[in-house]
Amino acid sequence: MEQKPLSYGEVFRKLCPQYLHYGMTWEQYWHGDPWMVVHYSRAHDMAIQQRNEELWLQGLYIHDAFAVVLSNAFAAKGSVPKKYLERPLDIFPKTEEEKEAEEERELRKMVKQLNAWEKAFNANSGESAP
Amino acid sequence: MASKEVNEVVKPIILHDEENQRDYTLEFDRETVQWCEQRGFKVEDVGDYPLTKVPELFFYAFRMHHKNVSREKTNRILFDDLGGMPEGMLERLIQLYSAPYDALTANKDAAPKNPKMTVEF
Repeated sequence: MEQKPLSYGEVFRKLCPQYLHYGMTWEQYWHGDPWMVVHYSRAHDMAIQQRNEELWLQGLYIHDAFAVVLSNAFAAKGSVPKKYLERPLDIFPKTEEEKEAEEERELRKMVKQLNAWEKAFNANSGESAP
Repeated sequence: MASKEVNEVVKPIILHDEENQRDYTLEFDRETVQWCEQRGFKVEDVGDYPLTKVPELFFYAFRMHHKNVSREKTNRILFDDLGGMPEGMLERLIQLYSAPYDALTANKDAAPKNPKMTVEF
């Protein structure tokens, strides 16, 4: 049997609880700007997306914590124990200054590493530095 | 033929009464549309019975912002002051009447996949 289409009023009454759940007031839904619902719906979608990302990030931290624990539990004796992240992950894009500072840090780290390798190589080959 | 984008917002109609220096804003909210339907009004009937339904729709359009304006007053504005429904006004009134419903359904396509898609009336 073909269903009779809902009238506007029936649709409004049917969707009212949904928009109240989204945070609209009774007054806003029934007497406010009709297009307000679009913004409330988008805001609701954004909140869901945010919650989803938070849960994903939490999973990532938990994964990392387990990885550290298991890695240390099964590590060979004498190996350096792994540590959990010292600070939270950066979730915002880095500024130019932060990018430059990080590049500088990486460069220094690489130079230090190369110097250590050179020292070790010289020691092993029995040569002395001038 | 008029066309409007799916998520285009229809602006209310503003009538200016020079004599009384008063503005009337014609618009519909959900409560008003529901109130009209409870009185047996169907927007589809406007095309079939324009002589009775057009003045009725015009009267209902006052309810949201000017509840105390009587049917006699709105008839006087429509027939005497305006000399009938100005061109384009009926179409705008119908769009305003449908806006509370359109906003709920347009919501599903809040971010249209093809922004060039339009709806023709």
